[in-house]
Amino acid sequence: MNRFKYSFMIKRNIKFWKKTWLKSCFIMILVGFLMITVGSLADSLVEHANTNIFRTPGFRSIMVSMDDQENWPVVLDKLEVYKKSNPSVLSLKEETWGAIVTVNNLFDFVKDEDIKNQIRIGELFTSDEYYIDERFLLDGRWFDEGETGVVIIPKTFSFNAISESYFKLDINYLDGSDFIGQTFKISYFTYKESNGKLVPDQEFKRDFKVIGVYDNTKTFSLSCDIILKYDDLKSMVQTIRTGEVYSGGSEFHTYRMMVDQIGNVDKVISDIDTLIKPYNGVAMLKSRPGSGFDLINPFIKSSFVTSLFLFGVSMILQIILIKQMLNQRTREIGLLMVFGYTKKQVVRLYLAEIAAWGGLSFIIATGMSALTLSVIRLLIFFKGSLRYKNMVIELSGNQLLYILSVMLIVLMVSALLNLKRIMRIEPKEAVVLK
Amino acid sequence: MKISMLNLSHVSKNYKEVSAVNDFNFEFRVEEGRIYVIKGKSGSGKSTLLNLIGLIDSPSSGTINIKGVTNYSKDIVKSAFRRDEIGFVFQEYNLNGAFKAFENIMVPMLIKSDEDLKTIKIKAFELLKQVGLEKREHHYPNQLSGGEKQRVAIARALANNPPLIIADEPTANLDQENEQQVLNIFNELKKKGKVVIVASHSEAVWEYADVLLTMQYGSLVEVKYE
Ligand SMILES: Nc1ncnc2c1ncn2[C@@H]1O[C@H](COP(=O)(O)OP(=O)(O)OP(=O)(O)O)[C@@H](O)[C@H]1O
Ligand SMILES: [Mg+2]
Repeated sequence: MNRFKYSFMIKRNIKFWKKTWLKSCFIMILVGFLMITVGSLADSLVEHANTNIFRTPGFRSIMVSMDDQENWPVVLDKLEVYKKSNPSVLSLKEETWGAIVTVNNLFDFVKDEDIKNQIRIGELFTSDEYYIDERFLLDGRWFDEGETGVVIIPKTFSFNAISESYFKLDINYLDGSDFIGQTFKISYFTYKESNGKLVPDQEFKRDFKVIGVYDNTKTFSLSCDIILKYDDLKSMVQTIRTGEVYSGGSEFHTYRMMVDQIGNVDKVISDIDTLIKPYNGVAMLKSRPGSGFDLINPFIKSSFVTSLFLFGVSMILQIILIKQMLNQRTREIGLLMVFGYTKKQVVRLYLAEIAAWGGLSFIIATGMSALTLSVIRLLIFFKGSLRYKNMVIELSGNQLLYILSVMLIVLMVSALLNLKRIMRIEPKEAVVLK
Repeated sequence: MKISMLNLSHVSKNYKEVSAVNDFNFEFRVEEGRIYVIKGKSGSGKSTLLNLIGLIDSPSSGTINIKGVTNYSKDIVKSAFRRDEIGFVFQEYNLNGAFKAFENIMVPMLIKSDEDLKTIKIKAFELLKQVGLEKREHHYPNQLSGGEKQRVAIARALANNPPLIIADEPTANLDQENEQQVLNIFNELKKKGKVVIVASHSEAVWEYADVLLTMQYGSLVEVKYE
């Protein structure tokens, strides 16, 4: 019997058993929807973390510094040798205290009179040294309560773990996105001494509007301290918009070693450490994945466990429903046996029907998930924190495949077992059963 | 197509307390069209016997020899052997409510791999015509009267043109007029050379019998050739 001959039976059966199937479909759709949505969300988060958070150079950028500056020539030689022998080291460069600055529409946000002498760039988010001073951005004047400051930020930035004790920020990293026009919230603290230690005292909340982004990925400088003269900035913005800015050098040299993957960072640090210890050198990672990523793991784990549990429960329900339905259809199956249908033919017929319902439920669930995911994406875009603003949330192909196959396997196996049981009944018994 | 042999020897079917069919010996003559009618009190084993002959039940002992194939094991019952050999008509019609009248008739034909759907459909319509239901083709079973349902069921039993038709009280739920229609169909079948074995309480049916078998407590007690 070919497939074409089956089709009318399957179609009619689907129509006739619609009501019984709907229960089962409802469960499949609901759980499929949940699983697909949560799974896709988790996949999107992981993808986001991998492509954005961990690619952020700050997490792979090792700072090497020397207490005794005169040791640099020797140490540099050793670092170069190490770099050549280790393919995971991408580059070794001297820290640059300058950056290429791209500033757009500065004067849409700042009035001339607000900028008196100079503007501080970059340091705002990354330095832990002048935390008290961070309360003001525009030199010469404190912010008033409720006033929105302006700031030019580095294109790539990862929240310095050390800085966390001095101020709080609603973002943990930036990576290449255009944040011009966005507003950040920053909390600063004043500190008081208590038992010989500095502890946070008063909190200042500040809004900052981003008026410019400077590209620190090329210069390699992740925590710049750039102070521009107002006139310089103004002319730069008005004329070329992109300019190279140098904030003045320092006698103190630092080198940065860039590693290819976050997973290789620890090993490189310990290698370098042993290498430069004799010369009073220190290697350290300036930034570590912040609390942002810490949130993802629990979310993924808990949602995975929850949805797995739900999935399990629903599949048990599914098995019961299929058993009920096939029991109801014992007579129908017995009749086919009376007509001389082989077991294989009966099984094919019913599995096709079940696959059709399962497939339909799956398609509906997928559609609902796609819709929900785009709503979530919009919500995050408009309301979410900057960290996730540009996160790509979409259906995960892997999740779809995984859920579809588990769903179909459960349906098929439970159908198969029940069919086998029913087909063991002698046809005459099956036919008289109501 | 003709059935070459239908022979029961020492066939018994025992349940825990009762012997529904008890040492049944009979050779049905199948060389030409005939109507066999089995009568007997309720519980005398008629249905059990028909199920055994129809290969939808297996005997406790004895052999049923149809066309040289001996039925004594469950395997034979489960096998697809009966597909184009035997047509079965039930008292309760046993139509599939999901299918239209003509589709119900198509179902047994689908297993014949050598025919395409179109041919099968045409055949189904022809069979419905044969039982006088050409205007009910697109009705679902619940849109048919009892008599119409039974005629659809007979058409379905004829689907694969079997030489042997077994009918267990096919007219029990029908009024006289419908019963007569069914019997006329059986008579036509007989004329076409088919062997029809009917179990029935109805005297109207007995009148059509070429051979009337009487059962009592599972045993064959009387054979009457009309
Ligand atoms: N599955 C079964 N389990 C136990 N006993 C059965 C079973 N099927 C039939 N019997 C018994 O076998 C005997 C014969 O039953 P059968 O149905 O063949 O009778 P029948 O002649 O067809 O009766 P009726 O005219 O009422 O249809 C009865 O005593 C019945 O109770
Ligand atoms: Mg009976």
